[in-house]
Parts: sequence; structure tokens; C-alpha cells
Amino acid sequence: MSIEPFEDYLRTAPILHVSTFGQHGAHPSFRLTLEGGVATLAKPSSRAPDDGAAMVRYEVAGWELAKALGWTDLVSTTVMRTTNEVTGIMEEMSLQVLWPEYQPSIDISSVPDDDVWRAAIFDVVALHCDRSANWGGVEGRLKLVDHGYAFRAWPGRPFTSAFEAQKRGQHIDDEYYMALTGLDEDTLAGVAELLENDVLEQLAQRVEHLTDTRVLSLP
Amino acid sequence: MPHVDVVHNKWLAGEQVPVARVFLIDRALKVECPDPDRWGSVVDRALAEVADRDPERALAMLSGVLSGSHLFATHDHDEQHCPFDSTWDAVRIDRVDVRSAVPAGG
Repeated sequence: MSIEPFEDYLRTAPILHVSTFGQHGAHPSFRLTLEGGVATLAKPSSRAPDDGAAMVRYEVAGWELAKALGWTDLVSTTVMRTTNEVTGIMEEMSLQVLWPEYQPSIDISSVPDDDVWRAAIFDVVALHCDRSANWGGVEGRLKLVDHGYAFRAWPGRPFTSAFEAQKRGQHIDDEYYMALTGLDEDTLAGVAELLENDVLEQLAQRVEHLTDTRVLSLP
Repeated sequence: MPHVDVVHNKWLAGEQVPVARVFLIDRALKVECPDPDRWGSVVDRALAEVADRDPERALAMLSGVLSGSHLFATHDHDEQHCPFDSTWDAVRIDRVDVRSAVPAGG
């Protein structure tokens, strides 16, 4: 079953309610409740701490990468939406479905090793630079959030993944290898639309490194 | 005394809950955490990332270490300016008045 209709809904459904907290993390975010009752997390580009246009694209790219890998259970559906109904100015923002009962930064040892492996590979491919606490759990399974600081080098933010640290240097088993070899121009089309050419090229190099060596590591 | 609140954003519930506090006391960092089984390791990992800094600088850096959409550390502040009134009570989400693009509560 295609998830595209749901993505289209997220992009276009009327926004019923907009809310936010007084205190916030790096990227001030808003809860948008859409017609039909779906609650989402919006990150406007204008409120980003860094290159906002890139950060919101990369948030969406995290979802597109999860789709490309076939790991849509790790990341909730995230789309780009342009609206003036959140900040009062017409701008792009990432819109991500909120997981129910999401528990942030759970103990990594509490989730299946399969989830840890997939998160480690995901973070290497995505070059995540902010994964020291930005994950959570839903019903005992791992969920990944906050992909703004990813995909390219960010000054002052080296590659950082608690999952990669757990699996660094280990052999990549067949099922994960198959997911990686499945990444091609077609399956990465959604990611490619969101990344700059040089950033996409470096992503492809990381994938090639992983499939050539079958060892979890950065090039 | 200066401190940082570690905050859990419960977006669906519409609540923001402080889960730990890191204080600067006598040039050392001290942690208060009502549920250390749940949040102790999270705070410990964050503190480990700034362990090579002097305590005052480390406290100031925590907001950069924990800065996610669901879990973050506030900037350091004193009790007088604590957004949680130095309690462990949850703060409700604010409706946004888009016309002014600020929370409707102020």
C-alpha cells in the first residue's frame, strides 16, 4: 500500500490548531493538528538555528531515506509544507507525524538489536551530526527524530551517533547489506530532490563504502 | 543558583515536563532528578560530553548538547528566571495566535 496519499494529506489538509511551548530545543517547533485529527510537529525554516532552508529539507530527507531503505518503522512520515498559518509568514517547514507515547532517549539496550543496527546504518548514510540523544521508543521499538543536523558537515558538529558507536567496525549482515544495495537512483529519488548535488554525491559515496567493505564505518 | 532544566516535550499530551536539573554549586555540577532510573543515564551522557570543560562553561554548554524536539536542556538561568518556577510541574502548551505569531498566552 502506497503511503503517498498520506503524504499528500499532510501537505494539504487544513490546519485546525497551532500550538507551541514557551521553551524549546535548538529548532523552535509547533504542534499542528490537521483536519481529521492527525497531530504533527512543524519546524519552520525561519526559526531554525542554522541554515533553515537546508535543515527543514534534511528533516524530510530523513523520512525519504528511511523509505528508500525500507525502514519506515524507524522514522515517522515527514513532508515539506509551505504555509503562513504557523508563523504568519509564508514559508517552508517540515511536518512530521507525532508518535503516540513517544519516550525520548530510551536506553539503547532496551530495543531489539535489529533496531540498533538499522539506526547505525541509517546514521552513517545520513551522516547524522546530532544523534547523542535524538531518538526514542514507542512500545519497545526504536524511533529516530531530528534530522536537521545531518547529511552534510555542520561546523562545530562532528558526526555523532550513539548507534554507530555501538556497531562501529562490525560486519554488516546480509539483510542490512541488501537494504544498502537497494539504494539506487530510483529508490533515492525522493532523497535526491532534497539534497544539494555534492551532498547527494557524498551520501552515495558512504553507501558505496558500506557495501564495498561490509563494515560499519565512515569512509 | 544557576541551573539548567532538562525538559521532556510531550507534544501529543500538550505538556512540557522538567525531568532533571543541573545546578552549579560551589564550582561543581550537581544533578537533581526525581526519576533517576528513567532520566539519570540521559543526563549522565550529556554531562560526559562537557566533562572536559570548567563547570560554569559545562553548564552553559548543556543546551547545545541536549537540544532535540522531544528532549532538551534550557539555557542556564537562576531560580528567579526559571520557566518552571524551580518545580517539577508540567507546563501546558500554548495556542498560537498566528496573526501575531506568538503564543496566545503572551
